[in-house]
Amino acid sequence: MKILTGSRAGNQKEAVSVALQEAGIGPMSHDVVDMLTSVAESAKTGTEVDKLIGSSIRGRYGNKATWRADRWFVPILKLQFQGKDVHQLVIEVNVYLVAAAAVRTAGDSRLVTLVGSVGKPEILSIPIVFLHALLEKDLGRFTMVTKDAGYTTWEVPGTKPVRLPNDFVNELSIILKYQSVVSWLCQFGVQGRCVSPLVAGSLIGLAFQDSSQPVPANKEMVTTENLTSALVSMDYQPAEAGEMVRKVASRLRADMTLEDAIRLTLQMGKGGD
Amino acid sequence: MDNEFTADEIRDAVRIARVHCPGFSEDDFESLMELEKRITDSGYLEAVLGLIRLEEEKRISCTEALDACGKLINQKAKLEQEISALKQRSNDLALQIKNASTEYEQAKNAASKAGQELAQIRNEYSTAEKRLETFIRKTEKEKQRISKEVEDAYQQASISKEEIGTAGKIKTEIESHGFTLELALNLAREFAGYKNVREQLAEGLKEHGSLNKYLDELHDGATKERERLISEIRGLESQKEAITTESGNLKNILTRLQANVAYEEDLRRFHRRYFPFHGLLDELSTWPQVFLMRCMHPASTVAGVFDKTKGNHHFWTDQPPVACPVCRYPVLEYDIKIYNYHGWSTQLPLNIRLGE
Repeated sequence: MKILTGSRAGNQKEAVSVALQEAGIGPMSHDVVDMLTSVAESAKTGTEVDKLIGSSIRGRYGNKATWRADRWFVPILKLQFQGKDVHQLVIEVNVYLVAAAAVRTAGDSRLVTLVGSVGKPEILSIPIVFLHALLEKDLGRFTMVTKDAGYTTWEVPGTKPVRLPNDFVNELSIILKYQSVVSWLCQFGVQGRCVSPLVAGSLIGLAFQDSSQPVPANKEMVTTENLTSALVSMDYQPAEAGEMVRKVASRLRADMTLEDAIRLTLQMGKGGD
Repeated sequence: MDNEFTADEIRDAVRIARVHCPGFSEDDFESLMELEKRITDSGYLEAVLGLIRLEEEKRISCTEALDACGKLINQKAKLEQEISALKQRSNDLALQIKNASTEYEQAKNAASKAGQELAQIRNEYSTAEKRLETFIRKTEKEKQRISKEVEDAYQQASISKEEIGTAGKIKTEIESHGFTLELALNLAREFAGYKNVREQLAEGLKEHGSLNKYLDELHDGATKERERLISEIRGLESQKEAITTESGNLKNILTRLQANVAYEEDLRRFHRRYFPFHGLLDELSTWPQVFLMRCMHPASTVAGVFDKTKGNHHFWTDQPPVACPVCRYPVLEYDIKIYNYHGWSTQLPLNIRLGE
């Protein structure tokens, strides 16, 4: 753990600021940090924490150093949007320990602040379809696999079972009654702002999925899946179609229509032959 | 942090949306954003719901409603223009009414005040008229009474109007010589008791030379006589004070002598009464200690209720007693009545000491 001189945290709020600074993450709303406090508090037992603090202090000030500390667990959150297969919002929860300690050695005494990550990071993967169901108040569409006092696991088609803390889901469902997903994501700071267009787009797509009309190929945007399907429908073998897509992948653009992508793939195929 | 997306972010959002909804375009996204902005305006949804209701319930299309709305707006604008003029007119009329009311109130108050003043003047006039009549009647009566009194006075004085006229002439004559009527009357009164007044006056003038000198001598003699009498009165007053002082001293001496006589009488009475017992007191004074005791035998207490001679025994000893010398009863008490009378204490030994 890193030892900073002086007492830099007197309460949870100050501890969050110290941990965010140490983790190198920009400002983040305390409300979103509070949402995952339950995850942070279950990270380590009191004895383990005391050992951790004690070893850090003795390592710096010698074996005869005695100490007394106030400690806080701060969940440091990192957001990520995964667009592969089933779209997911991934929250990496890294628990930081912040301890304001009074250290007494044979010669003198001093105030220090210990900051450092404890335990392994916990990954919370929230499929956008799950988030959409939460917005629609329709979580019942997913089968509940397990549930205990702290966590619930749902079965979401197309992905691994989704295991989320109960407090987090409850609080998120309350928050989304009063504010948009984008507003909530912006509370995570720069990283929230970064993923918010993708999450919003995915949610909008899900919302309008049922009302969408069949789109002609000259307007449909290309994806790996629809390009492969189109080639297969043109009597290419699936393996052959996959190989053609792999070859053309470096030339494809996300804003390219399916028609343009098919033309390009076929041209590449001719060129290759 | 601003939640509005940039153009690039919108493009990203649309691209991701197309994964689930291939027909979704940036225009759709813009429409959604526009809708979101409008939904924040509470009136927008209300207006939309109103139009739907209008069409469903009244069978009026939105266009017709808009046309009607335009007409109504024009009408409203015209009416609003008229409103200001009407308001101005209404204000003017209200002001006129207010002014007229104020003037009416003022005139009403003035008329009322004038009526009150008139009534008051009438009352005062009527009162003054009555007072004048009463005064005239009183004056007539007084005039008659004075005339009668004058007549009575003439009759009582036995004079007539002619005599009064003569007296007036005499007064005028006396005053023309530098005298007053009162002085002339006093001189007449002074000489009225003497017979041959004229002769006596002549003798007086002969003896004293003049009337003034005679009067001065009389005044000197009277002053000397007055001083002598005052001196005698002062001598008598000082004698009276000496006698009063002497009388007070004698009264004090008499009071002391009377007190001495009373004291001697008391002493004689005491001697006659207590001298036969002086031997007993002498004997008691030889005792080293005297105990004045009383037996508390209950039988004697009961008997004493019926016959005082049979009551509890009193006895005196020179030693602390252990039993009643009469009935041998062992319960004894100090004769508290005697002790209390003399202010002695039962807690201290009692010795009788006689004086010299």
